[in-house]
Amino acid sequence: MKEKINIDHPELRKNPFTVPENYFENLAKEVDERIFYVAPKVGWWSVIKPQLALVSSFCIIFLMGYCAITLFSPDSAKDNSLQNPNQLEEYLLSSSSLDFYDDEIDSLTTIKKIDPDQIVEYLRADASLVYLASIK
Amino acid sequence: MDDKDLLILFREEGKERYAFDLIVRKYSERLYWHIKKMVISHDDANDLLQNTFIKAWNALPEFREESKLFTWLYRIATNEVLTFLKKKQLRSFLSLTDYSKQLENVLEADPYFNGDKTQKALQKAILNLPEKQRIVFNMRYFDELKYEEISEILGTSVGALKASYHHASKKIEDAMQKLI
Repeated sequence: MKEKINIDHPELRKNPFTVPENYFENLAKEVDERIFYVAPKVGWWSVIKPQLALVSSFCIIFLMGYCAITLFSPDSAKDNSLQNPNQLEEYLLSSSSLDFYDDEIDSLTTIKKIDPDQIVEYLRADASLVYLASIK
Repeated sequence: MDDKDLLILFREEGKERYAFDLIVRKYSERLYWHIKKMVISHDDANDLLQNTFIKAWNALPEFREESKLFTWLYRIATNEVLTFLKKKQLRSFLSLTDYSKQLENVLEADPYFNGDKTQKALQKAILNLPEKQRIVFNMRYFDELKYEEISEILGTSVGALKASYHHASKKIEDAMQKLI
């Protein structure tokens, strides 16, 4: 049979734990530091610096985009006189698609008028055609 | 320097910091062991002890000496420990039994445990007690505080504390019988 445990034994009351070396010596200093530690003052420049960097990076991105659109857009060569909204409106009202129609260069609708002398000359040049024309 | 003189020194203009340093040096060891036996881990005990002193520093100007300085400090430390244990238990969704097992594992891995087999069995048996019973047992058994002092710290009647200690001792003896 097991012997009954007596927890009142003086050996059992001894503290079985230890602490890291010089723990209690350094503790007061650590507590003091935690209570009286004053965070270093932060200057205004270090506060606004990251915000300025963010704003300027947005500006740079915007400028780059604007330049790219302005330089490489096909509309970039358009007439500056039409920049004014009033002028643009006047221009749109005064012109229509008919204004761009030129009957002299339209090959579909142009009837070429042939000189009769040219026809005679042509017929004379080719006798076989005359012969064919005479057959009824 | 006794507590009364320390408090007088603390209230003198420009002496607060020095007086408080003396208070920390006087009570750090007792409070550390009180906390350590509850949380087992040295790092947790260190954090809780420092928090105890920081809270004491903030509240000391309003301390009206209705209780002794050391019982007041013990009360702050005990509240810190109980809040810490509750938070830890809730955060890990563990039951009291599982949490006791976790503390046993911490004890097994503790590099600052220097005791023998019987002392380890005693610590394990204590860890299986409910938190408040554990506090009462540690204060009476290891810190050798009087029931009146424990009553002042915990706000519990002396009779209830005696009963609690008696139950705890019985449970520990039974548990140790199984462990050894």
